[in-house]
Amino acid sequence: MSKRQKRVILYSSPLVVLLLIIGFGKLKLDQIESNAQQLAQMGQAAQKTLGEFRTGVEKFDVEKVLSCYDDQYASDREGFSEEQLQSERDGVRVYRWQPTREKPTSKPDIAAEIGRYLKTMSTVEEAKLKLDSVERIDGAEHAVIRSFLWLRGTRDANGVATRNDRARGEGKEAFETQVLFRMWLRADGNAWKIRRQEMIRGTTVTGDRRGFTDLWGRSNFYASEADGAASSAGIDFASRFNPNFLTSAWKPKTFEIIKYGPAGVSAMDYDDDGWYDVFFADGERPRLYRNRGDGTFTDATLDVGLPETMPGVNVGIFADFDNDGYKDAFFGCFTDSSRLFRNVAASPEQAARRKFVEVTDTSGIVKKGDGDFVVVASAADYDNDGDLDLYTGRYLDPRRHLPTTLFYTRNGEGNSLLRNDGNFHFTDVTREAGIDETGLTLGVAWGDYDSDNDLDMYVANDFGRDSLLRNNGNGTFSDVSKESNAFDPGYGMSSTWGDIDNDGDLDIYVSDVHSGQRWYGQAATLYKYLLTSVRQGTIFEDLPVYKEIYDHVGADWSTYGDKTVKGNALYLNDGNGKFTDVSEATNTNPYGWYWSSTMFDYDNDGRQDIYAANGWITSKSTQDL
Amino acid sequence: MGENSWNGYEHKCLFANVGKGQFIDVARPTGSDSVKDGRGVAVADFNRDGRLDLVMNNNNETPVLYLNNLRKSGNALELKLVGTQSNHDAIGAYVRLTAGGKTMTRQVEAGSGYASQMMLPVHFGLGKAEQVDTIEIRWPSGRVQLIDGQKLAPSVKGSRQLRVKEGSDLLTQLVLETR
Repeated sequence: MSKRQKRVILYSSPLVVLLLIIGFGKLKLDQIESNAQQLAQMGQAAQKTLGEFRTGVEKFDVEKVLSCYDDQYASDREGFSEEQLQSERDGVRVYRWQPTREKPTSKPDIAAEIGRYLKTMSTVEEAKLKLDSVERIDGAEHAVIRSFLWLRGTRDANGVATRNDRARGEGKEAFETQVLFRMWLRADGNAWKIRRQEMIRGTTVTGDRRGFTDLWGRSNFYASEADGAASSAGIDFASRFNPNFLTSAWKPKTFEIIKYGPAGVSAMDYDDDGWYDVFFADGERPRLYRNRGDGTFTDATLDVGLPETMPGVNVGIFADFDNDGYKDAFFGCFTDSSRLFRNVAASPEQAARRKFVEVTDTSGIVKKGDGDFVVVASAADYDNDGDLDLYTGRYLDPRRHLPTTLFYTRNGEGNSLLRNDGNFHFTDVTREAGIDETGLTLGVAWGDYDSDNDLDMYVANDFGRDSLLRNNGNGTFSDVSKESNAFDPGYGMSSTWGDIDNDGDLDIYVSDVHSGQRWYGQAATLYKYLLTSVRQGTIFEDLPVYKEIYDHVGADWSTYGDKTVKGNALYLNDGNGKFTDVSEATNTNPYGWYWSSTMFDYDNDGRQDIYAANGWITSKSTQDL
Repeated sequence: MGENSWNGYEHKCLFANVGKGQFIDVARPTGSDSVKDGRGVAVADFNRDGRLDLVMNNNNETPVLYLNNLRKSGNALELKLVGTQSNHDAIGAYVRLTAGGKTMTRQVEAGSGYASQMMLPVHFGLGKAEQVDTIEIRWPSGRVQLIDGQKLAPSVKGSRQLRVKEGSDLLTQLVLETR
C-alpha cells in the first residue's frame, strides 16, 4: 500500500479517529490495558467457581455445590426455581422454570433446593455450567456474571409413563435442562463465592426419544428393533478423508484443519420413480443409494455409471439442466476439477433405468488453478430464462493461505456464477454479474427475499462477514448486506431460507460458531487488540478491513467482537427489505460449532422448525479444547 | 491440538417452532440428537408417509438416517411442481398454501445449508386440517396459478402428494400413508 493510500484510509476511517481520542493520554492507554486484564482474570476466576459447581452436580454432591455459595448468601425469590409443565405432546414434555417461593432465599434455602433438585435426576450424562458473560466488575471484590447451566441425563417419568412403558419396565425418560442465571460474586480469599443469584430463564424438556428412529443397525425402515445390520436400511456408507490431503502436492500445511471439513449430502429422485434417493459427497468414495421403495436402500453408484472413486467431492447438486425430466449432477470438488454428469436412459429399451454420463470436458466448467476449492453449490434460474444456472462457493487454498483475520476474511478463492447456455455448456458470468464474493464460503442459498420474482442469494462465509446479494433483475447483483441488516460477522457455516413466522416472506437461518469464550470477546478486549496493533504497527495492514467493518456497522463496532462469536443467526424478514436477528430472543444460537442447518416442519403443525447439525471432532476425547 | 476436540461430540439441535416467536430444542426428547460429527443434512419423505425424515452425513463416520415416527403428527400435503415454461422442476417457485387458519409459504430449491440438497416437492404441515382452502403458485416464469382446495379429491382424509403441471388444471393426487 502506498503512503498516500494509507493516509486516505487513515483520515477517512472514523474508527481510527475514535481510537486516537481514546488513546489520547497515557493514562487512558493504561486503563485499556488494565480493563482487558481485569476482564480476563475475572473470567478465569469465575470459571473456577462454576467448574466446582458443575462437578458437584455431576457427582450428586450437594456439599460441593454449596461450597460455591457465600455464607451471607441472600437473594430475592428468583434465586432458585421450580419446573412448571408448559406443554405435553407425543411423548415430549416442556417445562418452564418459574420462581415458586414467596420469600427471599438464604443459604439454607439453597441447600434444600439443590438437594431436592439433584434427587429428581436418576443419571447425569453431561453437566456443564458455562460462563456466559461478565456483566460488571466492581472493584477487587465484587462482580456480576451470567452463567448457563446445561444438564443432560435421565429421570423418573413422574409416574406419568404410559402403561406400556411400565410393562416394559421403563420408568425412565431422557431430560435436558438449560438455565441462565445471573450471579453476584464476592471474593473470599482466593476463591469467588456466589453471594446472590437470580434465574433469567430456564427450560427442561423430557421425552421417550421415540419421535425419530435412528435406522443404524436395522435392515429396513420397519424393523421393530436393531437386527444387527451393518447399515441404516442398506446405507452402509462411511465418510472418509480426502486422500489427496496426504500427498505432497495437496498437504494442507498452512490450514491443516481443512481435512475435517467434507461431508455433504443430497436427497434427490434421480430416476423419477417418486422415491427419494440419497447421494453422499465424500473425500474419497462418493456414493449414490437408490431408494427401492420397500424400506431399503441399495448402493447404485456403479450401476448408474458413476466412478468407484471421485476424491475431493464436497457437494452434489442434482438438477435438471436440460429440462428433460431427469436430474443431472454437478459435483463440486476441492482438490480437482468439479464435474458435470448428464442423466440419460441406460439403454433405448430401458428409459426408466438411468445412468450418468460425464460431460465435464465440454461443459465450459474449468478448475481454478490445480484444484477447484469448491465446497458448496446451489442451482437456480437466476435470469428467469427457463434453464437452471449454478452458483459455486469456494474456500481458501489450505496449502498457501490462512484466514487473514478472525472476523472479516476475504482471501478465499472466489465464488462463481455459472450461466447455463443450453446443451450442457456454462459460462462463468461472475464478473459481469457484479459479484465479488471472496469470503471463505461454506453456505450458498437462493431465495427471493424481496418477492420481486427473481432469486437473491445469501452467502455464509467462515471467519467473518456473510453477504446478502440482491438480484437486480437485469443479470447483475448488488451486495445489500448493510442496508438489509442481514450482515452477519460470525463464522458462517451454512445458510437456509424459509418462512419461519408464516408472514408470507422468506426468513434466513445462518449457522455460525458460538464460542465458549464469548465472555472474553467484549469491548475491553477489542480496545486492547486495537492498541496492540497500533503499538506493533500492524494497524496499517488492517486499516482497509477496519474501514470496511466501520462502513458496515458504524457506531456498533465496539460490539463487533461479541457479534462475531455469538453463534447462529435467525433473520426475520420484515417485508420491507430489512431483517432483524432474533436468535438471542428465540434461543436458536446455542453454544457450539454448527454446520448444516435446514428449515422443515417435523411435526406437521404448519410451522417451520429448524434442524442444526454441529460438531468438530478432532480427537477421541469428549472434552473440548 | 492435543487430546481434546475443537468442539467434540455436540448434540444436534431440533428447534421446535412452538409459535409466538418461541423455539424449544427437542432433539433429545425426540431422539434426534446424534453426537456424531455432523456436516450436511438433507430432508426428504423417504417412505412417503407425509412425515419428513432426515439424513445427515458425518465427518469420518457413518451417516445418520432418522426416520420420522412421530405418532401424533399432523396431516401433510406435498406439492410436486412440473414446469413447462419454467425450468422442469420449478426450482425457485414460490408456493402459498392456506389451511386450518394458517398461510404458509415455501420455495422450491436445489441446494442450501452446508453442501446439502433437500427433496424438491414442497411440504406443508396441515395440523388437524383435512381440507386445503387455497394454493397459490408463483412459477419462475412469472405465471401465477391458483388452485381451489375444493377441487382436491375430498376422499383423501390424511396426507397426500399433489402433482401440478404449470398452467394445467389437471391435478394428480397420491395418497401418503403410514405403513
